[in-house]
Amino acid sequence: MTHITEDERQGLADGTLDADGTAAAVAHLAQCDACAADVTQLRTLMHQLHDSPPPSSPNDSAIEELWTTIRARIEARKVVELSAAPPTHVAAVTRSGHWHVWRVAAAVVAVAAAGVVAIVQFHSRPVTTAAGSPASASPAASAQPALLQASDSSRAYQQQVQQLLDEIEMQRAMLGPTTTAVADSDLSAIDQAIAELRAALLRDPNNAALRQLLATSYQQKLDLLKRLNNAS
Amino acid sequence: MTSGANAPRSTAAADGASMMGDAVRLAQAGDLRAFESVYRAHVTAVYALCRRMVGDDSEARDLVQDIFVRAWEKFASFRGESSLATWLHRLGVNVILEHLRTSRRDALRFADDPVDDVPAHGASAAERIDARLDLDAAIARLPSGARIVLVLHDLHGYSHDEIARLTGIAPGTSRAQLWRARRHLMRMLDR
Ligand SMILES: [Zn+2]
Repeated sequence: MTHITEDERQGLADGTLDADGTAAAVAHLAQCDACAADVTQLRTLMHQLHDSPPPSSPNDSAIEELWTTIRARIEARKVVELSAAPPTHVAAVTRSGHWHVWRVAAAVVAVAAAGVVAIVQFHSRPVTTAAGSPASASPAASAQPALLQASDSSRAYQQQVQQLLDEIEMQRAMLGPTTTAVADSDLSAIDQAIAELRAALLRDPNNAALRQLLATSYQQKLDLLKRLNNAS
Repeated sequence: MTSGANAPRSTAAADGASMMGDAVRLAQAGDLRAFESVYRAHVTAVYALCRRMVGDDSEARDLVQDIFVRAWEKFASFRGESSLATWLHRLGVNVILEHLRTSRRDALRFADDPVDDVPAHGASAAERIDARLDLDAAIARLPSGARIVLVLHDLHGYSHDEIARLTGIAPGTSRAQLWRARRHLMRMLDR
């Protein structure tokens, strides 16, 4: 007697054997205890697999731990983009795509109103002083040490930021509504990144990479504010 | 279609679904807190998939991280044509297979792996004596190629053609690996 093939056994067990094949194989099983027993065992395994509960899930604290790591990785990724941005380029400071808006809007405004041509200029020449404005804009070179200092001290940073924000507030009218709106949106994006980094640091205070990235974000915000001041 | 065709859902279920819908939209807009609720709703299923595909708890946890980080990056591409669970599952399978391709050079070399040249991995006499291996432990001990095909086909209902497309092996190889996996399991479970 020729026994049924492995193909037929497995196909019978999981129901993938075609109708003709099934009929012939079942006829064989009726006469052959060995094949019938084998197919029964395979079927039992199929049922067992089908009914098996999922593997026990990680406990609550493992789920928390996993999320903490996932969040840190997502935040780190955001920040890699931040620190990877060319320092003199306003576009591409934060999440990809976002600063694009600023660049486009700046160009539109520049075309519409000759008064803010400086906005476009400082994209190519970061420390360009706006036409006619006093030399209040400090050259980037001399500003660097102060910024680096500020970057490690939230309070110094907050003071600098507030001062720059005050100046910008007074000059809003000159910036025009479109530019102001775009600048606000860009600032809030950096603020969000800063807030997330600060939260991450609270959870992981000794993480040097996070501190460095936070410092970079502070500096980027200061850079942006200074540029806005220069542009207005 | 008339509005009458939509059977009313229970309020709680509808609220739950719409809350998750809101979380998905917020997460797609970059809200990490909303993404956290997506994570919490799906982490168990994603972990189960990883655990079975790789057979190891700590490797599975690493993969859970990779999958949710990838999901965050790709979340904008989730269009709601499939359920979020299905979308995450598919993304998960891809991340796991990618990981196996790079981390275990031989894990996916099904084609070079003759079915009858199987190492007696996990089916030692000692294990057979220690008979009552539970099913998950037995699946974990399968050779990785056989395990992947078994998990995808017998536990998640993938066809051999789908497995072939995902892994780059021939459908016939997928079939042979599946049989081999089932035979291994039967030996390990001592029947
Ligand atoms: Zn027979």
